[in-house]
Amino acid sequence: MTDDDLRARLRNADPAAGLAPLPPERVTRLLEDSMTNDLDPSPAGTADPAAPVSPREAERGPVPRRRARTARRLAFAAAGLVVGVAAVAVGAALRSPDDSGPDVRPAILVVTRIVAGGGAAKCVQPSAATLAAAPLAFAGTVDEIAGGTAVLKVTHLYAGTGTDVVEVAQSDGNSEALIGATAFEPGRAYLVAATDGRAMVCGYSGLATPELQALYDAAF
Amino acid sequence: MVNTQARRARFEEFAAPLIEPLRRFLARRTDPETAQDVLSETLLVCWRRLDDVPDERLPWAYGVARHCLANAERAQRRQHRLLARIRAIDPPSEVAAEVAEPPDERLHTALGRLRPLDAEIVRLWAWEDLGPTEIAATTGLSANAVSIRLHRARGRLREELRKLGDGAGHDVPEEGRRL
Repeated sequence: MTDDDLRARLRNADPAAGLAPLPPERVTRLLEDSMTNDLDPSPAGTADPAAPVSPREAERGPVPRRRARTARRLAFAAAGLVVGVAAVAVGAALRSPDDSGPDVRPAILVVTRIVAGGGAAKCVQPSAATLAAAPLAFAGTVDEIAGGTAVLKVTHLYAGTGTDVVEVAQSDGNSEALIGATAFEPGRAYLVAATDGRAMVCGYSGLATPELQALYDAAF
Repeated sequence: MVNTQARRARFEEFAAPLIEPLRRFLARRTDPETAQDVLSETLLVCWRRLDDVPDERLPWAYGVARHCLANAERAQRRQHRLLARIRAIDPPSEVAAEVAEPPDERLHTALGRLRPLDAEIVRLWAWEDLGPTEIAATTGLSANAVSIRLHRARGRLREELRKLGDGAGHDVPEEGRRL
């Protein structure tokens, strides 16, 4: 039996062969848990590769769960999602002309379509000044998620030409950097900004948390 | 704040591509529940030690996972000893084992007869597809030592397979199964 034969046989017996990949939202949560569950990262112990982690460090106890914090910080920035605005106001769905009255829905539905693109985001601290320069910024609620596309109904437009609906479509999702693109959840409110045809990530777009709302309030 | 944001971004970029390899690494070595716990622990350690990450990211992360798994198994052994004492006092009714048969039991048996570190080097070579330098980064051995041990361990594995009475890719039903 050659080395190659032996390796082939071992691979045939790989216990992980049938392991299905985690859904992106689980990956996002795992990453988020690691960051939010450890608010005081300890400095380096030893840099010796022979001891990647000291037993004491690895025994610092089970990972505590703080779901609320996790949920607040999910979203785009968490995952290096880069979103490109593919087309602005591409669709118009006319409502019937006799449909008048105090309907909260606009007469003309302008749809902005946003498509997720690849590439890892480089994050810097979000500033109100930068956000204020965004040509498109809005608050919206996820109406539905269908076929990998999150449909957000715009509840407040901070900047940009009138749009009523923004569709965020995850691209093929073959890039690791896209993990988190499905962090949109129906019924939840988000704040999203886009500039130069790309959504601003890394603290500029995400779940409408009080922190993010404060940033938007400061900017606009 | 700046540091936190940058650190978070760095961690996401670093850890996201490692999750699937780490899951497979753990699935090959422990039960699903332990694998899940150890994955969380491993990521937490990666987050804490983000500033120490060398260029060889994946082997390093495997090394972290190895240590976390070893710790988890130590804790489990303590628990099992306690359970064994409880069972002796209050034996449970027989329940069919739900553990799936490995696809090539003879191979797993042979692997189990190697010294633990040698078996691990073989696994890292075959399943994680690591070269001697990467296995060295994972295990803390020197690359030279890994090369020697890997060579010997493969020979030993072949020998054990022969003793168990089969050849390559040949999985006939076993007589006198030991496990």
